[in-house]
Amino acid sequence: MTQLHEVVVTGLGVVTAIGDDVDSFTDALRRGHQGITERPGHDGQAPVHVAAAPILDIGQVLDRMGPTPTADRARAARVLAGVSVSLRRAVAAACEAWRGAGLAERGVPHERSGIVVGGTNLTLDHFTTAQIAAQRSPNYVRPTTALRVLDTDHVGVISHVLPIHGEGLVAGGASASGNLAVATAARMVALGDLDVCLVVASSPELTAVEAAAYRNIGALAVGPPGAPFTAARCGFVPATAAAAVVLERAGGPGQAEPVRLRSWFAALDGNSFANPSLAGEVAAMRSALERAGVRPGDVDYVNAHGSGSLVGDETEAQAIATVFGTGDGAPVVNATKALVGHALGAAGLVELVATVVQLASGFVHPHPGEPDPALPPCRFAGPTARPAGLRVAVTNGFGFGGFNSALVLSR
Amino acid sequence: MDHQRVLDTLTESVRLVAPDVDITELAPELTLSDLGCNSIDRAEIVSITMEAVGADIPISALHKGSTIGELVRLFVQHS
Repeated sequence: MTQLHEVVVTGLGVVTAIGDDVDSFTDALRRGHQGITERPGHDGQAPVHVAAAPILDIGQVLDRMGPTPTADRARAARVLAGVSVSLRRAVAAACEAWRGAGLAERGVPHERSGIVVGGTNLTLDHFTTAQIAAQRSPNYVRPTTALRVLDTDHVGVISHVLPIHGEGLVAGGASASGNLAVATAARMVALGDLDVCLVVASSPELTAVEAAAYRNIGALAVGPPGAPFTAARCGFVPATAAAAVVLERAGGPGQAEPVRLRSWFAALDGNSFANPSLAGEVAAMRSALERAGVRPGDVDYVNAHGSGSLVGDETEAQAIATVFGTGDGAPVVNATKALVGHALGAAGLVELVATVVQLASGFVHPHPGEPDPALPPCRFAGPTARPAGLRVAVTNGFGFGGFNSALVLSR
Repeated sequence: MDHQRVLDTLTESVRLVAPDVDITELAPELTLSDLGCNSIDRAEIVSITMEAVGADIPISALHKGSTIGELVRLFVQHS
């Protein structure tokens, strides 16, 4: 029988509205900085609130590669010419994580390094622009659109810039994509199919159609958004962001006590509508804990999905209270989306980075606003960051289409 | 549109699509292929240039043997 390896997180990368690398992101988490801004609405509609990651130019992306032979940097510049803003962020985060894991120096065989890109509908912004050109003339549809309009362009481009020749694919689970992509990558590493697996996710800006659809289904925050789990919550704040993690087998060279991925769990509600399931969310957390061999009482911290949805946050708070209780031994809870917005397909991976950073640095980031008194009294983090000797954490991810997932991590 | 503006637009398109090409080497008797552009690059450069100058010719009608001078003349003619 195949021996399953233990999986650890050895590299992190991030580009968000509150920090465009892991150091500045960590600093912003400590300060509880909220990167939410107001923008004029589409076509004279009411102003919208978004959390926008910075636009990186190709030079800034290439700098994330670190010291690189000129020929490699020139080749990367060529690959990145014409690549979308969101894919540039993905490459930046990927390079930061790759460097952080020390992979440039370690000479891992290229065919033993793989990649899982999390998310779906990664290129609708590109498609919208191409459609406008097509209406003027089919000759104005760029030939490269044939490549760029595929979600898998993220896999192609990142593996063209970084030496990744092992297995690569896109894994989607709506807003649970982050956890699902991590689970997919972790399985490959645990089984020994790969020595290293990069997980990357990046969300493009919402197209006008998507924004209208989310608004019309009642999911988008309209007006000044209340933070997740507060009484004033009114939907999600769309965000652009990119994140990346490197997963490897435990015990490899140069690993100075990395955070361990103890387990992953994902399941479906068998429900294609938007409503969450209390039973499904409870089962996701309990099953992940069982797989990890961890008791609820051992968990110090929960990074909630916390999207700001009226019914979603209520359901999750009840699920957390059901699994962990609300007494003194209950884990501290916060929602990173309160600070960075909801990056949809990239959200789960941004939150994994936030979870690892808090575990490793020993603090919980603030939870802005007063928790809604109508919710179970989970131990929500307060308005300021607290030092905390965190050992075990859970991060939740739920998505339209009935996706429930949870990861357990420990230091 | 005049010849120089079309040429400038094409030069800019080359710079965007193939940043490693030395655009000072652009000359009317050379093809894009001579400059190191592959078939996707050439089609891309043609598409970008045509949209910018308002020319509209089937991309497939142009071929790798077309010199830069010939392309510019065609785009001027059809813009």
